[in-house]
Amino acid sequence: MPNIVVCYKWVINEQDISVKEDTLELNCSRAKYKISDYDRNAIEAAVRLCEKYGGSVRTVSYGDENVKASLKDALSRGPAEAYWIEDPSSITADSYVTANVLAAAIGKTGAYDMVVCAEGSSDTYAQQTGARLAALLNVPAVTYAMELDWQDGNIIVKRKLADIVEILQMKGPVVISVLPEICEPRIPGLKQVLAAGKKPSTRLNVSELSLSDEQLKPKNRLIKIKGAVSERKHVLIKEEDMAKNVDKLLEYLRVE
Amino acid sequence: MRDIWIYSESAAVATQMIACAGKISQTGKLRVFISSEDGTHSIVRAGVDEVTVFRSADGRAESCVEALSALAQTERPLAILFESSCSGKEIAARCAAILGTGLVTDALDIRNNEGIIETDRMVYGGLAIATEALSSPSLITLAASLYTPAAALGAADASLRIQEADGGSAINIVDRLPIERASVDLTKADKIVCVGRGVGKKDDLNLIYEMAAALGAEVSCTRAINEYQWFPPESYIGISGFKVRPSLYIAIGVSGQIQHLSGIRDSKTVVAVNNSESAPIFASADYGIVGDLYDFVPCMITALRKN
Repeated sequence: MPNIVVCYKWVINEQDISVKEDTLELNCSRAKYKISDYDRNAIEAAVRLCEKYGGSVRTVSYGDENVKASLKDALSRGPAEAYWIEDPSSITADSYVTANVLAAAIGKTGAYDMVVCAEGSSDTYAQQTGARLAALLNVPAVTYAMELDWQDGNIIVKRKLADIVEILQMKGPVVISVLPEICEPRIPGLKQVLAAGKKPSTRLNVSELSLSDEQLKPKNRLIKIKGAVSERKHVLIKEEDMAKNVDKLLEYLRVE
Repeated sequence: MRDIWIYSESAAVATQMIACAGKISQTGKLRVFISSEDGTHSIVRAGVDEVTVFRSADGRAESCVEALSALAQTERPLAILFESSCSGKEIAARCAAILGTGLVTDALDIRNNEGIIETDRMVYGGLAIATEALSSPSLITLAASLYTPAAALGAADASLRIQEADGGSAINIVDRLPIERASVDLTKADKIVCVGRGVGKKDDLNLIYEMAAALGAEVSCTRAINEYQWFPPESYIGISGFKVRPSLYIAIGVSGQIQHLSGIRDSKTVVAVNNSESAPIFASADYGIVGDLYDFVPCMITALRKN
């Protein structure tokens, strides 16, 4: 029976971020948090595997003071248990720090067959965490998984590359990062949300993880973050009927 | 001056990354690592100092991670530039973890600021650009927009070595299957019509295809539509799908979620048709028409055929 750890990130919803027109600074003050989009697919993939073959899913997340608010959402999606690391170091963490913390935390949660991550987070989409975790945990990495199955203790993965699909087979422990198309995440019902409140969750402190100061210090330093400049023309064509709209559009396109 | 390394699965892509390496160092040696023996005769004459081909017993490009990171550990290059392919990103991330250094994926620009490598990359689904100063050695995967056609070959032959790379991995390859896609390569299409959730049902695609044919355009879709399976699997446009750069991109009934917009930002001209004036797609369009796509498409077909 598969024993799975899923990592997810509690991120601000990028749709709530506004960009100041003059300075291009980001305003995140109205932004709500969410479980990173593709992480929901990762949780779903792990939960479905265990619903089919038995076993258990636990989640691990590393974030700032807001991360605790994610537990109910995460657990309502089917995992049995949640671990979280709440630490201010997460605010400036790059993929190096994040992987160090997650790898150490995963080690604290017990044995596993699989660590499942999403292909990338919806905020930075760095696509590093899964592969880094595999290297730090010293287990094989399987990235870009589009299908995941379990057959008599063997893990079977369909891995999608640019022009080829690899069918891979291995025994755990392994780290697998999954593509969003692996499955559609469920929308938890009231019953699942209520049940989530009763599931166990454990806070891990960074101080228990035996990490050096160096391992908690980002390697890459953020110099600035600015709204992307759109150089689009923003011409809205508003003629009296559609035929005229189309004529006008084709006129514009001819001079492009 | 410290060396610049390039890693690519193929000699063809490595050649296109050389100009970018030149942006951050003119004086250090340029060393190329590839995991395929195809095209080595051209890469050795492309103006690089040394070419290493990793040959793995299992044929997986990823098997070079241990060898590449061990070399980087002893030789400490200034930077390693990786191809932003699926394997390239996995290899880069595993090397970064082994070396205990940072990594920037999908860099849109790279600079050398007095010995410190700086990069720009997209964050928040393309809403913003983050500029970072990198640790050393600086590991970067280059966005395809940074690739430039190779300069004429003709430099003196670089030294060529073949290195066995055994991943020693516990992963067993059961099969390798080519992906059956639509015959066209969307990333090279000159004109693209993209279908979003505004298109109500699969039968309506006929009309879209008619318009695309009159335009000489390819037809693709958003990730939301991809889930309806109206198109060949995995052929959608967006951050996790294809990143396209056509001269003309027409969004039909596409709302314009950030994840989708990041896949179309390199398009030359963007046209959007949507019945909601508040659809975010209009903020990323050159020309917008607020209206019913079921009025627009037939009018377009008529007008295009008349011309």
